[in-house]
Amino acid sequence: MSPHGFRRLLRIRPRPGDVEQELRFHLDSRIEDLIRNGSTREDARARALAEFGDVDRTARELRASRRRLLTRRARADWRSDLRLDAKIAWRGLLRRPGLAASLLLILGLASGACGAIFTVVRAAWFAAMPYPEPGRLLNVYEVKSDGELSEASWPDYMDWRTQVGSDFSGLAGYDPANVFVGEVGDTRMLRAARVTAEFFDVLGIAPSRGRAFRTGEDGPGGTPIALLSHGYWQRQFGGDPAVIGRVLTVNGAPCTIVGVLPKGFHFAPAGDAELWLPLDRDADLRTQRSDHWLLVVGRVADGKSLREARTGLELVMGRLAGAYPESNKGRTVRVTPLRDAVIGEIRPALIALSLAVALVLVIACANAAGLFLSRTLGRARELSVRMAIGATRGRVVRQLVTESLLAGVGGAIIGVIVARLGVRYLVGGLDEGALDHLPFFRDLSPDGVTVAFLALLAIITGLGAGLAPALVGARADALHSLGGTVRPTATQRSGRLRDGLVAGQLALTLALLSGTALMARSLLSLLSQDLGFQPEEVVTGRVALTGPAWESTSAQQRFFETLLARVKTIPGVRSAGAISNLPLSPGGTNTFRVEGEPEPDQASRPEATRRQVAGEYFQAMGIPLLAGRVFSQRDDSTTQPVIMVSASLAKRYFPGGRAVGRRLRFFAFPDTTWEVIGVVGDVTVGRIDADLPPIYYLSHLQVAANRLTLTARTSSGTSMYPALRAQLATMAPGVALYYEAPMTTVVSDSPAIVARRYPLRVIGALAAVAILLAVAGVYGVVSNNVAERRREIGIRSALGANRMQLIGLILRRGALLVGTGLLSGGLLALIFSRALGSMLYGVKPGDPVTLGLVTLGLGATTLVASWWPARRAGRVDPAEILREE
Amino acid sequence: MADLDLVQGTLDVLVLKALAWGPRHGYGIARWLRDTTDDTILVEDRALYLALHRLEERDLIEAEWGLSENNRKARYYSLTRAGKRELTQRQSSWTLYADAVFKVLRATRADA
Repeated sequence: MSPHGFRRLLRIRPRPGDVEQELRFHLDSRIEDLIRNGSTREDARARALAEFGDVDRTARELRASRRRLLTRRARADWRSDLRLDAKIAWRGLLRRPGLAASLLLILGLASGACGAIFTVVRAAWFAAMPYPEPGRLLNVYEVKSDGELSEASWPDYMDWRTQVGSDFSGLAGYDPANVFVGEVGDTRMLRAARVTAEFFDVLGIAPSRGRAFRTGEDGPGGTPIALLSHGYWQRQFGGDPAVIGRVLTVNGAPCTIVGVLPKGFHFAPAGDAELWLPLDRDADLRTQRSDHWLLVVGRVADGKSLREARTGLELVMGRLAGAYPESNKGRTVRVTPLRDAVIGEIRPALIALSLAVALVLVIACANAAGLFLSRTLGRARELSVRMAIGATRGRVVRQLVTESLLAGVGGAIIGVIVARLGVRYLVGGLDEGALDHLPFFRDLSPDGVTVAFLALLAIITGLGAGLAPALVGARADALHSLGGTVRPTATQRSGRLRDGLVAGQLALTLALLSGTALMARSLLSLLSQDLGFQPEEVVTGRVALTGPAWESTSAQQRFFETLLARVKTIPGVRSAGAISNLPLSPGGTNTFRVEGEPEPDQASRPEATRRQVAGEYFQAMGIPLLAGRVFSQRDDSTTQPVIMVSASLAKRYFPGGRAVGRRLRFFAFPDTTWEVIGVVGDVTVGRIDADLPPIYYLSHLQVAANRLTLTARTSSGTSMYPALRAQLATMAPGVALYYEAPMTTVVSDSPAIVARRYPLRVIGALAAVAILLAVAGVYGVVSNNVAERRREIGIRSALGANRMQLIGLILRRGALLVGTGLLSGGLLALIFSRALGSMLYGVKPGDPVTLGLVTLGLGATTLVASWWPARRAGRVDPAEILREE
Repeated sequence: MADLDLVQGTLDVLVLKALAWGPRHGYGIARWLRDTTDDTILVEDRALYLALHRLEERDLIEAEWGLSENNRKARYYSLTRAGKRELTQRQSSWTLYADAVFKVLRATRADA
């Protein structure tokens, strides 16, 4: 040990008079020397002082110098202590590899899970909006009189732009659509969006090559030009810089590439479109105020608040409602941050996952703290010796905490790997369709920021796991310890801490488990919900007819009739039909008026979702016919226009429920009267967790469609696809079949299910880890309890207690512990399940049955975990105990 | 002989050298310097102590309290390992320097 080391150990600090004493010694010695050489005392003193110079000033300067020196030494000592502590900690961990491995595993898994969720949440927050000043971007919807959101009409949009004044620096429209790219016979479906000329200006994005769209290019009929996403440019053109000016065939027509968008650009509300085209709607579609098809994004002007922008737009919309009551009465506007449109759907899941993973981290810390506590107690003798020979309590605590910090750092290093795997698992669980709406999750992996976050977690977990055990351990009574046997006070104190840690873990685990159970019940109640159709044995696939060859409606109708007839010849197919949009996908609505009923108020016109059907759609889907008849091939353009309606439509708008035979008119086609010929059962339209809306069905033979989704009920399942594709190829080369999926998959991949199944899977895994840790914690406490009370048990046994009484003795304490944990956990569970909020369906956050069952289950599991070591109490041999004394 | 102003840094070397044979207190160093140079170089005591503390701050010397010849508490300074290294280095560079200066001052001809 260096001299400084000894001084520190002996706690010798320089006294304030050190400098004075040194100088006085110098002057005194000099004076004595001079006197010895024959000077008088006065002369000697004067000479010594003269030789020295300004004594006071020197003393001041020397004191400053010493202060600097001591501060620096203290720092250096601190650093060398740290190195020493780290070395001791490292050796200590190596000496007990089992403990070290459990610590690293626990902290590594927990901090890795945190790192993974952190990476995902961070991407959702920052990478989701790759535009300058993303907080100023807003989505603008119209709101129907019934409160539902709708797209804007073109005239409304134009009026917003001209009348909203200086609140917005720009408003732009977009219209997502799938297009078919390539020559006939070799087309591929591509996600695309048609946008107004100012769209990229509003987002603040300039193409990395070429140019953006210019004013006027988005007029009626559009302009045959396109912008490519960076990804599509790389994939399809190998990043060829000469791509500008090349011609693509889009939906059968030539289209010139004018630019490439920058790398990293995406626009999730348009489904991560790869091809961007100017808006091309015809002039007549742009004059109808009742035609709502345009999605609108706007940027708040500098210096204006979101509230000002909202108020401004609401005023404009109010004026429009007054000026055009026919179309706009009752319609308002809703302005929401663009961020809500991008991550609004996944926000509840992200919040739930963040909370869950934080709970697991706390559980892991508590668990690690328990492990450290037993280790510290096992070293009580060593620590007492160190304190007895002069180490301060702070010094010992520091050394113990260094050990836990080292474990935290090790955990974080493992955590980086776990986070990498975790992100892959999280993002890998999303299918392509989901990724199109969450493009910022594509190719996601932890980066430097995640590593920095894990470094922070290392400190938090290190302190969290090590501080309390170190404080308790360092309080161990030196005398008792050195005396050798039992130390009642320290044992009691550490026992309380250990019990508290385990009870806390149980409480958190119960919260997590309750959340999982509630989400599982939500998912089950969604899956067992009556969808209104039988998805089993139904396979689906979408067929689109695009290009000039298919423009005539009779060609479209002939094609689908022939196709359905041929599908029926495929072996195994019992019935075949087609529909414009499958159940569970949204669709356009129309307002109508029932003949013979009083003229409805404009704001409360009957409204229903429109679907076109072909063939034996209802039969194939298993939707029951409740009244009247279904469409036949005789219902075509030469006969009376007919419609079918859903049960809820019949019930709501046809008093008495007798709809068949009644007539109605749509406001969109005022000249045609439609006769209701049949009523079918209700089916879901949008999300499963939404209400069943009224639907009306048209026959494609009366209102043609160029895209329909086939639905075939077949015993051969998806193995009919090759036959279907072969049929399509022989009928019309170049017609694409896409979105092929069994109906059961369509249901299980629908947003309402995915939004719950996906986080459930993750939270379930976290809950499983939590249970494991909690059970291990209970087991550890109880076995420790048995070991500590061996003497007591032995004496009781010698005094005649039987085996069951002894086990009961131990078990009682275990039960007390579990009970405390579960009781406080119940409260936490209520809080946590409330945070799940909108993710729950068909079950309330505090559902007593679920919470009760979960509590019972966890209680039983942990009691078994304490029964196991408690049995050992029954096997204690009193003779052996007495011999040990 | 006249007082000589010490060239900057020279005092440090002299102090280090004074400690080359073992620990000394401040007064001992001052006396040794005076005796060794026959009072040629007059060091202000104040400057000596500032130099001692400066060298201590640089870890070239270290200090410890001890008892003096006349049984009084005195602060003894000794060279650290770094101080010994520094002394060797400065000694040789000083010798080179002094030789060079000497050669110039003893020069007898204007051209080389």
